[in-house]
Amino acid sequence: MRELSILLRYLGFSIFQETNQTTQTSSRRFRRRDSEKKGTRNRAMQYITILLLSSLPMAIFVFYSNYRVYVTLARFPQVAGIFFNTTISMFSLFYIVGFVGTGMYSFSRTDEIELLLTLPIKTSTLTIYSLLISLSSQLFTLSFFVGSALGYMFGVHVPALPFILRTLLQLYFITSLSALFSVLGGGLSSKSVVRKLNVFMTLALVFVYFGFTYVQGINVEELGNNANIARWLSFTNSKYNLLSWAYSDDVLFVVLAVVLSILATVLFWYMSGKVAFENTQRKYKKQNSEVIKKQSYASFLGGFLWKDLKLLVRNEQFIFLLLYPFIFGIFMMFVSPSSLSSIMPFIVIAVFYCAMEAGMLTSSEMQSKELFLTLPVTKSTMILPKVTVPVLINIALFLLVDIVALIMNKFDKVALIFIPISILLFALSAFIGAYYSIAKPGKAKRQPFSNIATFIIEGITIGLAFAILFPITMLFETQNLKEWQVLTCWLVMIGSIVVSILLSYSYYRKLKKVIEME
Amino acid sequence: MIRSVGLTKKFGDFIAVDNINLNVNQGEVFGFLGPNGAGKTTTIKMLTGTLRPTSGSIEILGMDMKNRAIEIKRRMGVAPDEPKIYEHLKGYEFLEFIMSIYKLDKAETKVKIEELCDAFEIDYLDKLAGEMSHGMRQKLMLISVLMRKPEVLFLDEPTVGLDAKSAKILKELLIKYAREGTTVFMTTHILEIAEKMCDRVAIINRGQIIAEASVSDLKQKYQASLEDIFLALTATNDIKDIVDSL
Repeated sequence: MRELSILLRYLGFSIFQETNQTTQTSSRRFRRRDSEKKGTRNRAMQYITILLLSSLPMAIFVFYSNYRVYVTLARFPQVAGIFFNTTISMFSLFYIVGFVGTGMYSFSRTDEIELLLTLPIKTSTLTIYSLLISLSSQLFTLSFFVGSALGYMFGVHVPALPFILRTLLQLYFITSLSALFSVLGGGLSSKSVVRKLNVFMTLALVFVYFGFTYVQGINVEELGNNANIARWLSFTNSKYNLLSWAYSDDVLFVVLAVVLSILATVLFWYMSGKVAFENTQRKYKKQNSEVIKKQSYASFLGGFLWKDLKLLVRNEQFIFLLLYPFIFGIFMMFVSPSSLSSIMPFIVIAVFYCAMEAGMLTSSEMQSKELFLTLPVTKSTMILPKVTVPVLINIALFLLVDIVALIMNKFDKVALIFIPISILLFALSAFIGAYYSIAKPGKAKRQPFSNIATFIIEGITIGLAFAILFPITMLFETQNLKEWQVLTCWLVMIGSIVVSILLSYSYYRKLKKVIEME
Repeated sequence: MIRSVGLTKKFGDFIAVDNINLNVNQGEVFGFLGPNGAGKTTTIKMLTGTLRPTSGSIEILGMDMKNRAIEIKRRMGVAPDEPKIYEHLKGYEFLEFIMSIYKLDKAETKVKIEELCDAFEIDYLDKLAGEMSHGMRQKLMLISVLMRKPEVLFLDEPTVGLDAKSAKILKELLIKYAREGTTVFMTTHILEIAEKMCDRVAIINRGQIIAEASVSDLKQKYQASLEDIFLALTATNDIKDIVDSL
């Protein structure tokens, strides 16, 4: 226990250890203050706090949407029960799959494990330490789980104490099973598998969230009478669905859940001392001639543009950054009368993600700056794709959303106004993202900006997107606006466009200056 | 080929490199020696245009680094001590990236890459750089430089992380390149390498060059091995006392 607490206190989570190269130069003035603090900082607690805080808004969202669903379904407890069993089974499954995937990967040989294995630390302690790190990445899924369970408890008014006990049992059950599966498959997973798994899980969770929103729109009486949706989901009520045993009315299955949890814990405890921390995954090795033969677009696109596209596509977060605003935009199209209402949320989300993409690319270049400085290219040749790639990708997404709107016959011509505005906003975001990834880089390798910079970027990009797009939507979609309202809308919109242009220029200058200093 | 006059680099009050004058001729293998923190890497960074000098001038291939950096970089090759390769690029993709930056002839370079890969026993071109060991990345970085045979080569600790066979091949290859006219400027901690490979060496300590001559001239002057000369000049000749006190 002492060893584990030392590991968590001083090593914390590897995400904090992977200090960004650029931090060394750009944050030199903060170095003394940082090193003074380092001795007292508990990295693990800090990381968990950040994760909890970032998961909290989603937990509240899920709770609220579930609560509304269950208040509606309270008149049909059986349907509510089926719906609850389905959601909890799904979240449990996501939790297990995600946890097992990252858990298995955490048992492969990394530089950190290599070092820890040379120290007099028990293997079981290293196993638990690695699993705790994996567990932390499941907090997002957990926020859905807890939000949904609390929504059911308050919405249907089930007795609180037994329900909380059953929820705790369910959490213990799925955690112990995941821990056991992780140990059994130790080293089998790869970084790319974990990456894909995390993206899949996050998108799946987002879809489930949309599902809740959809259920709210269903006519309750119809649901009660026909209960098609309930019938469709009733398979999760099967007594053989072990992911709902903790909530079963049959005591036997509750006892089974308890017994299985204890058994999994004992087995995990036994196995935790036997983990080899070796990579068991073997990949087919291609011959050099086979690899060299491949044709690429490197010379056609230009070295940096080609390379940056590759790096962006391979980034762990990219698929999410790409799909989330797009899917959200499409979903909004289903529930709103015109493309205006779907394009607005798309742009609001995409502007921040555009800044993230520019930041990720710039930060990756800064990590290898010793290399690019030796290349016969100017700094502007290097930075140009960092700005243009995210802008072009997001404009392409914007056009795709419009095409879907056209296909669905929901395209509003007013949306064409959004094209120049979105280009302006994406360009501003890209400049800001690239600038802050150099001026205020994140401490973790995967984090392009510091937390403060993230707030600034969010404030500017999302704030300006709202300030420009909302008045346009108001002007074109709201009937009978008063004269002062029309005037206010125009003033806010034009003012925000001017501010966006001025900020774009200002951040372009700042970016140029900060690159020259590097 | 490589010329520096009054080259100085200050970090605040600390003088990392102090008024260095260098002159390396074409086809010469020049060894830059010194203890840790002596200013070797800072000097090489200034010579390769990755760090701005506080004062002094640098001329490579007869061109001023201040005004014609891009042109110089196009004709020189640099292998830093820490091979920083984009970790999400595969080995061959990195080489392709370098090929397109230097606008190299694809067919010709591919043949060269295959030859170099065979020589250095590289069979991981399909692997992401982030998954490679230091030695693997070091070899890849060397190949990215050697495949285009630049006129001037800067190598910072090139043999660190290399296995014995690869290190030997690299040493022989550098000598061959030098004979064919390439100027090689390298830093190393391994004095044996300097002794065997370099036509001339310079020893830097606390930012200043304290000796510069051919290895044979130095040996003749001090009547000692290069290791003993190095230790005597860099004030670390109390090694026996240190070891005894431990």
